[in-house]
Amino acid sequence: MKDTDVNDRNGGRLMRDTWPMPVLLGLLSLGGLAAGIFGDGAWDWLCWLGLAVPVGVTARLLWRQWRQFRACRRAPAGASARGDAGADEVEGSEI
Amino acid sequence: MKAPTLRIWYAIHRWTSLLCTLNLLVLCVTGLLLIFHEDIDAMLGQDHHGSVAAERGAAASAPRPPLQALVDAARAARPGWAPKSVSFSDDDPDAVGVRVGPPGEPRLRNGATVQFDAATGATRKPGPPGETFSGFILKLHLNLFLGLPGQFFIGFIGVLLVASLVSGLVLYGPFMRKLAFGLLRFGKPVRVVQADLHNLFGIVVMVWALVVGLTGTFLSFSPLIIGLWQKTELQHLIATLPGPAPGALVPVDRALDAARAVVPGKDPAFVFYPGTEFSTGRHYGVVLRGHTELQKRVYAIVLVDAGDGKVAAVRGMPWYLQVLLLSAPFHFGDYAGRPLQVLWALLTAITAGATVTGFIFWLKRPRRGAAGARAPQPQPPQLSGDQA
Repeated sequence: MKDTDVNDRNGGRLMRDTWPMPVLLGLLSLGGLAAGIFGDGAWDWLCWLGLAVPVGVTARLLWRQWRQFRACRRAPAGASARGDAGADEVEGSEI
Repeated sequence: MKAPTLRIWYAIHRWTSLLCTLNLLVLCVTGLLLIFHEDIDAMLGQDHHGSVAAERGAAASAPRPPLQALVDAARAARPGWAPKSVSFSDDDPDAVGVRVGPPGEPRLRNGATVQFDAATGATRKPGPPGETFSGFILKLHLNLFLGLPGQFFIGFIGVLLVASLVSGLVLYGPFMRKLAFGLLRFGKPVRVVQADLHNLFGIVVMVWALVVGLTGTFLSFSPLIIGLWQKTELQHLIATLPGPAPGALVPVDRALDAARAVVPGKDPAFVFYPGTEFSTGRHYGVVLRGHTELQKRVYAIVLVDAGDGKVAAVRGMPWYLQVLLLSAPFHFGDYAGRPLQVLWALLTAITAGATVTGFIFWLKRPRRGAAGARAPQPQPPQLSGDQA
């Protein structure tokens, strides 16, 4: 076992930080997809709700972070409007 | 996950994705249009989706003519041809189609359909001549104008898409382990921005795209699936219900009434004439369906002796045909009104976004010098900021 095993090392963190949102959105999508076929009225609303959340979350993330980026650009050099997501330390480490 | 395993998944993801990228974009764009095909048809004046009652204008006062009268009218319109099937719309009780074809020809494909207003017995005017815009887009989506082989090719693209989605899901964890969900590092190098967008779009549409991809794949291979049923269950029925072709057929109305009496509370979907690919040589194949969004995709198959009008057998659908029928709404997104159509379109757009960002991510991959073979493939986890 010479290879580093990501799951062993970071298993807890992985489950805690990486998966909750994808799992939640996946379950909402699945529930929404299924709900619509069961009937009309309330079932349709559940269907729309379940599928609207993933779309809404995507739109919100895009919009918020794009606006932050624009604001950061307009701000004087040196001032950094950092995102709350906090992974800026990776600058320059890619590829 | 160990590094070599990760590299294998990464290779699977890259190659399955690259192979279906171009086609997937075509499917996204055409699919996006097809979600709204009824509106597009109406806008271009190419629709024949309006209700029959609206088409007729005046209210039908006289009692409904028997179905047999419609069948006779269709035969009169095509002298020498024999009736093959009667089909009923699931949302318009007045819309009935009678398919006629050459005598002795079992395949329904080789025939023509006459559309009727079942309330008056009048033939409806045929749809607009030539190709409609939606029809053109549908062919592009379904088979790239290449007929059945094209349809199976699209099914293969669907298999690639599903493999690409599954491998993407496997890679998501290792890629994202140091990144918050949905982090988008705008302003960073192109490859980082594209990877962030790809990860967000990909994981958000994952479940929806898997459902649409799998159902679409299944629908692409539907001719094979229906063929399987014909060669197994239907053949078995034909073998267990032997009988010579009847001299004269009882009227189709009588067969339908007999079938509806044994399976009450259901509407007719199809009646297949004896000697066609969906019946025996002696029996009408009557297919009934329920009313609700779910139940109208659960068929009951009743075989009615065409000589004496008696019910010979009642069958349900084998599971694979049931899955096939249920695949349709989950591929088309047409089962919960306008809001679902809009969401379907938005999810299609996000899927296209994941496709494009993934492709740009690959295009911008670091290229080694001509000396080459110096460094192995870039390790995917580096993108997650591992070295920090």
